[in-house]
Amino acid sequence: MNLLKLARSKHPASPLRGSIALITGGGRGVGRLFARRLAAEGAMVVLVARSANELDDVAACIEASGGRVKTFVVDVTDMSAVQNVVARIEKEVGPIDTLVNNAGIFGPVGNTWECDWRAWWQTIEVNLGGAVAFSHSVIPHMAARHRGRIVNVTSQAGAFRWPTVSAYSVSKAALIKFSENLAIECNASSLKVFAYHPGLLALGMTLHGRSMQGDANSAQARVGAWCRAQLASEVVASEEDAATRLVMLLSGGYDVLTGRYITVWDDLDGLAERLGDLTADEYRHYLMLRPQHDGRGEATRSLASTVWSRLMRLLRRVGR
Amino acid sequence: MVTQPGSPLRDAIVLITGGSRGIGRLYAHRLAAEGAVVVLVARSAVELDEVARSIRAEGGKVATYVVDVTSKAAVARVVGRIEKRLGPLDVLINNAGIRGPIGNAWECDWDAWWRAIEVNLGGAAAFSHTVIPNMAQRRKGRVVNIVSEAGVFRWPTVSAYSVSKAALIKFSENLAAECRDFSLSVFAYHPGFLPLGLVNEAMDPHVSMTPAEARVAVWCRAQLASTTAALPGESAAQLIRLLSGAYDSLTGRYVTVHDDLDLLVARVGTAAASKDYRMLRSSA
Repeated sequence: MNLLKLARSKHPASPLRGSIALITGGGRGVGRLFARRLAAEGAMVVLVARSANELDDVAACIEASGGRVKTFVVDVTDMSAVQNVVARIEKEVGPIDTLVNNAGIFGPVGNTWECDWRAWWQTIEVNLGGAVAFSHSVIPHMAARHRGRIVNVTSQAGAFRWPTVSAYSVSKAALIKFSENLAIECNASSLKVFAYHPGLLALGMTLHGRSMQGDANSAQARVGAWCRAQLASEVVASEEDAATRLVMLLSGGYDVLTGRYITVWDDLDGLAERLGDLTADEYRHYLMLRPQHDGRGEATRSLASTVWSRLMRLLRRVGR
Repeated sequence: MVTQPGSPLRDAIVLITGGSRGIGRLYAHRLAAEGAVVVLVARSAVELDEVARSIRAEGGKVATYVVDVTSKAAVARVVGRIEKRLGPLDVLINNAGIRGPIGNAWECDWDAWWRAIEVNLGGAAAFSHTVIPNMAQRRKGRVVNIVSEAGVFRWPTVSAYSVSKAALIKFSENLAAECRDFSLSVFAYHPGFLPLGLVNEAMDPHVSMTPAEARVAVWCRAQLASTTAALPGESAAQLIRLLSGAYDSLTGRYVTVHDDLDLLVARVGTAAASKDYRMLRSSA
């Protein structure tokens, strides 16, 4: 049976083989993508989410392709439930090597003061609080073993901004800053922490965004149109790339990047090499590099930039 | 007290959260001296009374309300009462903040860690959520979120504070973009490293100090002794400049006590054509 699994594994020599990876929000979207890939790498994936049905579905799918998986139902905003489930996993499954804080919600759409307050704050509780609660519960175990990696799934919306989707943007900015602080605190225990932007994918939350409709000019309609345009453009990331970059981050080969905001487009080898320069420039290292494009993308961007600056100049002239 | 006759803040109604001590108290005095009606909210009635007395003794106009900024229902009630009694708010200064626990994040008391997020981010977001509808309707108002360098860079072992301030800076950016159509300005303001409030608390020696707490106290003392320390007078003067209306083109930005605001305004033209700005407009 083991030999059969080995034969089925796409990556027999993967550094993740035999490790235990905990993924929050593993029932759907990006979490599901990551779960399937880490299982294919030979990791035992432990999935936690709110919906037992979705968890069962992912588990069946992973097992069918020869992967190993365990699932637990938990609400990431309930700290005592999180602590209990982590204790159970450590006892029943084994030592957690990897924590992927992926659970997240889109939050309300609209001008902040027009959003439902409870929905706004719940987004902070899930996207930031959930990741912090799991880190708080898992790290003591990892620190005792001096072994472990944490990946916080973040977004460009946290590095830049997303007006009318402010709870999401703010929660992701907070999570990026949490990763930075945590990485430094974890240095003494040899644990690594990354803030990872998997790119805009035709999965989960983006599909939710894409389906948004509303009255013309409403925030919902604008966000929906924006998501549809992004998904149709060259900006969209491939699922394969998003999962591969995660596996690379977890391989141990890029541990010098601990604390940083990494995107699906980054050249990790290039970043690791440039680390010396980057640390000399605090602010740049925080904001990281821009997406990498082929020459055509570069040309399009520079054309757009020229058109934009001319337009701005024209507007200023008209304004005068 | 000699009030400033020509101050743009004369008779403006200014709400300051966490106004009973530290930086909030400093700003309350200075804004009252500019002729503003300062409305202070905080948890402690005793401390509020004391600040109110000392502002009135200097000839300033002040009103106080007891509120816990983490209770959205209480915030909504108190803002309703303030506007009914004094009229619509012109300025909101989200200053209420706590330092949060000190230590490695996973070794901190969870409730204390999350409480810092609830007060520093949740409090500011709750007041903004409550106050802005009226400001938007009147197309008049300015919001200042008091932030910190710890939110721009980082502060290991004081992570709840650092994370909450990073969140508040990003909140200001998003909110400013949303407020543009309503002619409201939003600033994230770093008042500088001052021998007041949270910094004093962090340096206050106590018997049960942990090694992490002791390191933070030593660091704070070193900062205060260095050239990076700010002066309370400068910190308040910069806030008053931000509220004057002359720097509204800086809306959404992180501004510090050390910045040359005129220089920043001159540079905004260039920055507005940047990729960052285009990204903002394409999604807004």
